[in-house]
Amino acid sequence: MAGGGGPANLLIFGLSPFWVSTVLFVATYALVITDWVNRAIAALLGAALMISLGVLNQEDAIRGIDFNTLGLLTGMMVVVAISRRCGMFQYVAIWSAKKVDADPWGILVMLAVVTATFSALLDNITTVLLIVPVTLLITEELGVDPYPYLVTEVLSSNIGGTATLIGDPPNIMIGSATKLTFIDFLWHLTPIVPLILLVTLGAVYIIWGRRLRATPEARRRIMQFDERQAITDQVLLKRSLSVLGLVMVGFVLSHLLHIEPATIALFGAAALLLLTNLGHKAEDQSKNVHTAFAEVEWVTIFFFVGLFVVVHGIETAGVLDWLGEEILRVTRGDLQITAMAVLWASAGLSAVVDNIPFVATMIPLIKSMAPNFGGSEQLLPLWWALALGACLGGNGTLIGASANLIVAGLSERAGHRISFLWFTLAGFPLMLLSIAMATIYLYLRYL
Amino acid sequence: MTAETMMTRDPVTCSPSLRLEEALLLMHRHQVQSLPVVDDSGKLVGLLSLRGLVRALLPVAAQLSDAGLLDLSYLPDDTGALRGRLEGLSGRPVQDFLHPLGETVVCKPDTSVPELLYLLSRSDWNPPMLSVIGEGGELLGVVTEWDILNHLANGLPDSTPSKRGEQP
Repeated sequence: MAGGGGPANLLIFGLSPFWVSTVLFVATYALVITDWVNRAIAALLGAALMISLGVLNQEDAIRGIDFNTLGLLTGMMVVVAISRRCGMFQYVAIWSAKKVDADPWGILVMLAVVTATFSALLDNITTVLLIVPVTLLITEELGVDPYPYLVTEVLSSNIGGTATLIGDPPNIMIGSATKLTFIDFLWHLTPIVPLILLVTLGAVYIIWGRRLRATPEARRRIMQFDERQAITDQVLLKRSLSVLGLVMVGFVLSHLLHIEPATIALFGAAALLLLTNLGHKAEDQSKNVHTAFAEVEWVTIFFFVGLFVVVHGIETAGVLDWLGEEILRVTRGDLQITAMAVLWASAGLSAVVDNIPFVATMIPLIKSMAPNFGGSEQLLPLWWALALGACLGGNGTLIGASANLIVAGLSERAGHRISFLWFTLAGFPLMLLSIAMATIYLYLRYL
Repeated sequence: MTAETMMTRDPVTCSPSLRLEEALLLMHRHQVQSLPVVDDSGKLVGLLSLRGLVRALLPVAAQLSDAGLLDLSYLPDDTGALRGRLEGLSGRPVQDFLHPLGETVVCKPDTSVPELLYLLSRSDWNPPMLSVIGEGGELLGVVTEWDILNHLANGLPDSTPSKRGEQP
């Protein structure tokens, strides 16, 4: 088993690269899971050791980094960093609350739909960062407990993020590695998402929704909100919506245009930066650009960089080929069993550990199974199983996704603690329910 | 010269258990924007500030400083509700509103004047004020920009080593 071809036969201090890379990989994972050091430090350290100990040379390591994923993430982060300042989220949240006559359950449903929609089109963290404060404001004025609203927003952000290629980092990685397009994701993943959201909202109604009550005066207060005032900058709103719209059109047409999503996102970022800086003094431009770039989550970006190198290390050393063969041995090379194993294992693991390192490892692993199933085209069900499991699994516990922790943090500071246990009691069964739905969906459509 | 020579000794203070409305009256009477809060043993436990109080009048989401809302221009202009809120807060103890020590700027009695100026120039506190505390955390006095200018200018006209912030 150990060894494989190529560099894996070289010796490092007399040790096999197979074992060196495995130890480094496991140690990096352990550091990320235990949170003992920041995840970006852990991944970069693992990557540096992977190169220094000779598993990879620097050129190999750089080849292992998926710049399409990094470019797409960075580009979208810049676009969102600029456009969030125009007050669009506040507007939509207030508008949606008034659309249902400030009925407490209606508001919960509307905010869930808004969160899911924004999460599908933008990153989940930005979405919840902007929706949670407005939610706290609306629930305070309405005189209702914000807890069900916030928990539902966590669930909705992970469910919504599942829907598109750009909705969640696992999908971005899968799309980038497999050349599956934005349209492919819309066609294969999006249909199940509204159903999962609907069923989840049904459960939320049974658990909390039916007890939500607000006085007529409180509802009147919400109806007095003037959502038009929530737009802080009309010009910026128009520019942001134009660029976001064009970026979405670009994603849809990317396959026809032969342009990768990273180019489209970075193009959008450059265009929006240009539109918001044209005619400004050089000094102001420098400040504006600096502020926009500062809002990029560099910890996540560098985490990806390190992780790609670490995963490329075990891939080059033949560890993933071996692991793939072992998995196929257990699943007897059956596509149906393998897809179900991928789906449920992804969900279970993503509920308790970061789904990014898991998906980064699974992608080359699944690719290595292609010969067994008769070519890479046959792997389609496995990619959808991975995407559904990794994204929806985030709802299992409070630490299942970064957006969950952001909501919990904001909520705690506002005096409403979301405890790990209480969240898990609702989130885990609802996550299992969504994975059960995904199982039926995959089975009926692909297996 | 050090903080000890510059500071205003025996500044107006209040106890953490004082009701907010009494603390406000005290601040109004002495025309100060912030009030050191000390416990029974004279130890500084935090500061009560008008800004903190104004913040407490806002909805909770707007009180989250960094990740809060962009603005509140869409809220109805309802002073009646705010008045009710203020009344609701006034009976609560000062300790519910104070800025804990970590959020305030403190110095030691032997802190040098350049350092005091530096701390004051960088202070987010409005108006800037430093609490001078002893070894055991007891409040010895406070230093404001006026205290230092007063000393550097060898006494400003009509200025007495007054209780800080008293109207001339």
